[in-house]
Amino acid sequence: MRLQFILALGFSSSLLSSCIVDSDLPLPEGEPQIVVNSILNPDSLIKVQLTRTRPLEDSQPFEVIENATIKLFENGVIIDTLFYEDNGNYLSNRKPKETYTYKILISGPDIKLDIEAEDTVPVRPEFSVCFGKTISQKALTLYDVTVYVELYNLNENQFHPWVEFISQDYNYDYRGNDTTKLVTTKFSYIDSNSPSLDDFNATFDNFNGFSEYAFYLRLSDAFGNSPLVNIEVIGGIGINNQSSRLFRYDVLSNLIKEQALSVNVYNCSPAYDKYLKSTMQDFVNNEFLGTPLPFSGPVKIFSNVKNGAGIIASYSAKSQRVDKFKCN
Amino acid sequence: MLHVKLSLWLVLILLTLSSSLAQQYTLSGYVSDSDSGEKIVGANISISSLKKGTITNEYGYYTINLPIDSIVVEFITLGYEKEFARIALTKNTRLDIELKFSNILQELTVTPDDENDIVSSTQMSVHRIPAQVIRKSTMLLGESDALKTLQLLPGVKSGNEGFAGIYIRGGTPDQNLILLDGAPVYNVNHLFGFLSTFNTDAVKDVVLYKGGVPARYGNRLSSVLDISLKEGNAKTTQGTFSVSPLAGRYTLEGPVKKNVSSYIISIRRAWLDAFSAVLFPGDQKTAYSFYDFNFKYNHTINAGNKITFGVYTGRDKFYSRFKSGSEKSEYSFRWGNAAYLVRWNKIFNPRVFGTFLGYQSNYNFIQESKTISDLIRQYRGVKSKITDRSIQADFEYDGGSKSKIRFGSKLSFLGFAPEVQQITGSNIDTVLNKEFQEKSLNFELYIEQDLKLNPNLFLNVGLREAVYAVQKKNYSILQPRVSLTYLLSKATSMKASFNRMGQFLHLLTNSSIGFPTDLWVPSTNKTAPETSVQYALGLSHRMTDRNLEASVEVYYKTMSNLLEYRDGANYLFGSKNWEDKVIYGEGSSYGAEFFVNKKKGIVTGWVGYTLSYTDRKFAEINEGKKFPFKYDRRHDISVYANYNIRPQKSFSMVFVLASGNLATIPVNSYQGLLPPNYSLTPRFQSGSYLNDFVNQELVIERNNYRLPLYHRLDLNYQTSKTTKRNNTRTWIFSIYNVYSRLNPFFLYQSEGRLKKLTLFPITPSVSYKLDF
Repeated sequence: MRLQFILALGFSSSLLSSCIVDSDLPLPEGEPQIVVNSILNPDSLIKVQLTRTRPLEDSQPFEVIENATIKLFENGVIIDTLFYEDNGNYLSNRKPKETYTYKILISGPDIKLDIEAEDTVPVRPEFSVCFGKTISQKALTLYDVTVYVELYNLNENQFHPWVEFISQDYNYDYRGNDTTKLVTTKFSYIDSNSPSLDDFNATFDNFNGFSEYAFYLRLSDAFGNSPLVNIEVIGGIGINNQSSRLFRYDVLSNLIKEQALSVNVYNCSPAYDKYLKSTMQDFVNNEFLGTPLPFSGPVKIFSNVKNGAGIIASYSAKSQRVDKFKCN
Repeated sequence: MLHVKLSLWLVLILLTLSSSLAQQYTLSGYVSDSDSGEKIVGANISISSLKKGTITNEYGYYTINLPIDSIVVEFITLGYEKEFARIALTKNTRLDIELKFSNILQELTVTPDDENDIVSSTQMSVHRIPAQVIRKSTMLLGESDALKTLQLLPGVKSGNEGFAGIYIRGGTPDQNLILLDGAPVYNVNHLFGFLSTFNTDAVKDVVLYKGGVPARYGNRLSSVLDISLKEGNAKTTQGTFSVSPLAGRYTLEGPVKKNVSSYIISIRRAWLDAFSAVLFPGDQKTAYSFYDFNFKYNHTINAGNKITFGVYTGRDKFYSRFKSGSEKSEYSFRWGNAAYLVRWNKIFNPRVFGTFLGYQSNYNFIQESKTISDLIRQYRGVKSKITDRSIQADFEYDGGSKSKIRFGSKLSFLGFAPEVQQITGSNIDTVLNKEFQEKSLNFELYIEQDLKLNPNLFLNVGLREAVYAVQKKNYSILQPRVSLTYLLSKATSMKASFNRMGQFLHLLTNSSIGFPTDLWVPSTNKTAPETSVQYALGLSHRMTDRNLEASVEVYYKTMSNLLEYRDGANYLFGSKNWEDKVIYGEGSSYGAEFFVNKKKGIVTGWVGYTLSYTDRKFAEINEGKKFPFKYDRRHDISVYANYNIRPQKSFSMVFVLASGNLATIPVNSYQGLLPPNYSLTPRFQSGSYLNDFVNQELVIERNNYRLPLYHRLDLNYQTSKTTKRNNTRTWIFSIYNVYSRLNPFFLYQSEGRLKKLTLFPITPSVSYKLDF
């Protein structure tokens, strides 16, 4: 009897006490920094936004910097001083040019050390697209169209391409099953088995046997110096809805005037490529599925800003309609 | 390079030949326990008149060369009564000795050749932990654990709170060669890592090499943990039965033929599934269980030949079952090791002792999900497996009082099958990743020599070469090892060591937790083997009058071709091939270790302190800049003390105080940029995710945040009593984390706050053991 009592006491005290306790830790304190955000592309005026970092626990809007002086240099020669517009945005009336290097130098009463950043605008990408029937269908017969993207002269142009798919005015409604509504949508998933792709943002669909890429296709670094790269895309979807897939093969030739399936290719500067990849990594790890992936930590987002945070990044883009080009 | 290799081999063989010319008579034999016949490892054999001595090897065998003389030989080991033998040595003589167990603590005469002596042994950075110490140190939920005891030694760090993984001198758990009776064990975790797979009732001896690893060991970068199981009582049948809140254990050992053959069977099983049956009585059931089983049979064929068969197997199973109407579904994880070995110890002549070992060691992991109903029949299974089939031969040659030589070779056939997936559904039946199954061949060769260069200078020099063939590619790693000891006085010595190590296996892991999903993968034509170089310098001092040993060691280690998952790549979101998910980098580690050990007396124990620095460098992490390793704990103090109140009552305590681990925590948030056309995504247009990409967290660098100081105190009280039937019953009362320090197990952010999860606040337990 005494043995039984002691054993019972031992079991219960062990199990009851070894519970999980949740408690707070002090957050690390970081010095406030000026954040510079600017995208340079030959189709838009040069714009720079200045904000300030805020503590993690603060949910107020980011404080904007309104009294800074931003000088703009082109290939080392000062060409402009940006004027303040609103909401922390500073504008120039100039558009950046392909292959030119732009530097910004920021000073001001609230800025202890001058902030600077620079980037070189890449040339526009060279590529072609076409569509064809899917030859080998996988387990589930959801796809009957394949899109081919062929990228040229990567080796000459220091190409860092990112590829996206846009369906324009197509009868697909991401909120439900109202297929009469026409919407313009960027594909959230792009399905491909192409070996030339970087699968950092991919998950593998076991049942269908291909990788699903989130939002963009990024070329693997190993193919960055190739003269020619082919990417085969076998499908894509707007959202987690199995019934709403890429345009079907039979409808692509019969679209109404406003409807289109387009491929956009962004030739990014090395800095923008790193920034995009790190932000996408952080997004896939922590936000894409609603809850962070188990044991995934925060990702260090790339920055090329000296004495501050953020990015000055450049790209040149080109768009082509897929539906107009049937593969031979 | 070939010339360098040939020269190294040639020098070593010449050294060996030159030292083997001495001619003397040999005294040899086994030293064993008089009650059980269990062979005693590390027993001292000394001849005071000649100032000579040796110790028994890992099989309890000794050999010593002596001049023709009438001598008195002393046999001494801790916990046993001294034995003397008077011999007139006129020929090679075999002398097997049995020592009687004693509770009386006697002085130990230390001889210059005593490997256990911290001062005169050429081996540095080594710890031998007897099973009795393991049974009295840290206990979590009533279970003692060999690896958790090792975490109390300097240079050995624990990973997360409560886990059994060990990180040695900046290395990772996969860089530790863990041998169970000579066969490697690939997954040492039960219960997702809270407990190791080694049943302490069956463990006889544990030896850990942190550096200066002798050439007879290879294929891991950081350390060797050599665990020997008991041989089984060759004289009488005895057993142990014990229960703890976590598991029950039963061990039975005895002779098949007295003094000729013996067996030991040890079984442990967790009963968490019994609790869950009570907690989840309905259609939804979640349960966990594990077991392990050890069996060993020894047979002495004759005075010169002994054969051993061993089996170790252990499995864990975690599952959730649901039932809804006619539909049943189950989700389960199962994993486990199995090792089978046969060993033949042969005494070729009194000077040559040979060991032939053949083994197969497997680890496999199976994750399954099944759904069965009238309409659906779906199955998805992910299986990973590593199989190691090896044969090896090891020889010890006693080349006289100034030299001992070991040499041998090993041939291994390794099979890897990472993440093989089988999917069966209404319109699919396929197996994926079959193409990533690999087979490789590993051949290793070594020679090692202990030399006494002069009365004060001892040298252990060795060379190991490993050749590995995979995917039509061959790798070869030459691994020189040198340890040097110089006696500054009878009580003080200075030591130095250098070793190069290589490793053809890599463990891909997402966490320190020891998940069964961690993948063992081979070196391939794309993935080069890992290598390391370590230098160590030490000072050892013995204070005989106080029964104390003290040592201080400094070390510097570099590691290359380390593997890590890329950011964002993990098991749950697997892509096509593991090699697409990994990046390669390097690491370094340096530090100083202080150790004071008291092996004898009413109070025994040790104090260890480590000051260390460990970092990593990967091109794709932290912008290619060096960053501190997650377990770069700057300071680490461990205290273990055992107070033998009476022979049958003991009280022990463990105190650990260490710098916290490191984590990557953002310091601020800032405005980011939306990627091109992101506003056209359905996700953005739905209005629910407008903060995607815009609200970024500013990470300054990898592992920038040090967690709060880690500390805890464990207490353990054991009381034994002999029953009327001459059995011994023992009650063990233990408290883990006495003052309930909330040490973090896991960090996460929630609503702008940093939170920690603590798994083990104060955790008392009671265990019961019956020895019969």
